[in-house]
Amino acid sequence: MPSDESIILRGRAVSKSFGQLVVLDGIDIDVRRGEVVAIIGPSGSGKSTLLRCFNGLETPTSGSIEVAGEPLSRNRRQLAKQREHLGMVFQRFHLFPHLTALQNVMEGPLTVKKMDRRQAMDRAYMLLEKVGLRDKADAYPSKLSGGQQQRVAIARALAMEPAVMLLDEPTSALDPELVGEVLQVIQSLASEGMTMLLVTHEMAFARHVADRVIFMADGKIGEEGPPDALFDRPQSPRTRQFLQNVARPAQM
Amino acid sequence: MNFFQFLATYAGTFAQGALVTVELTLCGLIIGLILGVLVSLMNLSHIWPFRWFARLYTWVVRGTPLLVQLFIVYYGLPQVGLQLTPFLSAIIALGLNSAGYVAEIIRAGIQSIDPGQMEAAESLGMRYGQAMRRIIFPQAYRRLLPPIVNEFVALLKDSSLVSTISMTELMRIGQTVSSSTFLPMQSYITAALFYLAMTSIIVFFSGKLERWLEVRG
Repeated sequence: MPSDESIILRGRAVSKSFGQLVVLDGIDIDVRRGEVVAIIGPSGSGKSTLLRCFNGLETPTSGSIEVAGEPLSRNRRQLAKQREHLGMVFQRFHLFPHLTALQNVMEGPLTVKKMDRRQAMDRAYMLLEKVGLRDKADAYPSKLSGGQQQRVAIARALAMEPAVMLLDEPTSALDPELVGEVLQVIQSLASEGMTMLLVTHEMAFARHVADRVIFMADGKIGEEGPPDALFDRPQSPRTRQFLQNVARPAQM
Repeated sequence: MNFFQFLATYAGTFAQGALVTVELTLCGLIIGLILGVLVSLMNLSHIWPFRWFARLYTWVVRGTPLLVQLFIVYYGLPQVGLQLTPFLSAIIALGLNSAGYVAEIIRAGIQSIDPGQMEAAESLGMRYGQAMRRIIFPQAYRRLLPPIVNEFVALLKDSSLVSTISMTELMRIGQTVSSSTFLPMQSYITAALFYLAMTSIIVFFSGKLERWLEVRG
């Protein structure tokens, strides 16, 4: 197959097992530059594991992962280089607790890119402004709400000027009233044309922000397509059942 | 001679011994900290011979008595042509011994940091060493302070064992004074008071240091 310049993330026949447990079972996936792809599906379907395979936090048991046409390296030094182009946002934020919000955002450019301190600080202020937290620049993570922490974490990832953002259930650990502010930031990134691969349980948001939605179940891709088609006219019974379940979560 | 007269007569002698005890302990602790950091890094290394060596080291050092280790260094090594002074033997044995404990303290401290911190650092493109230096160590060192202070106190008390290789430190002074005055109770209680004073000072200042670190965020 000729390499396609527009494909930034490519997974082919990606499988992952932990002992006897098969988490990913032959996944084929492409993400193009500028595209927002949302992965939905029940817990334990392998969504997060797939996402983590793209920046080497998990290593597939078999299959290939390519970032910008290059296979993800097994060499730690080269992998570190490739990771600079992949912004990662975690479910549980993982801000550095010994650093202020500003220092968290500066850390990547300072340590990895060896950016000049002044320049790194200016950029960090700009990014905090972008996520609406300039006034919290000097606050330590323990003094921030979950929603604020996640916005700082997004700014921290953006500071490396990644080619793609990988977001692993960015709102799942948040109190309901804090979900909106984080989704708003992600939405604005999407409208600026940021490429994103997003694992989420927010169906309405996935529908709204994604160019394409992938439904995963039991380590396989069950169905994929444009959001309207997938949400309104799901083809597989498995997708239909899942969408019904999430639409009526309160039913006892 | 009552106890106060005893103290007035011999306090200076005991203080000299205490000074040697402090020197021994500090030298032993410095050696222990440096080697302990090295061994703990080996223990966390991806290179298996390092890991293997670190585990062997802590296993042997923590599984054998300090007194035996001390005798091996002081009495055993001359047999293979390495004759060390009592002081050198003492600080080497104390240092090698405390390194085993310090290594375990540091390993536990580093492993107590949420693995998500390493993932976040590596996701930014940091190499392992950068992540350790910038993210993991700065979080771990505060947690390390209390157990390291415990180790410091234990080392100070254990240094009394080196009286057996004719180092004139606090315990040895106690023995000497005891045998020349025939007042063992007064002699050893005085030695005990000096040990107690030194360990109390360490605990007091470490408490201050801990609070100061907390205040700084």
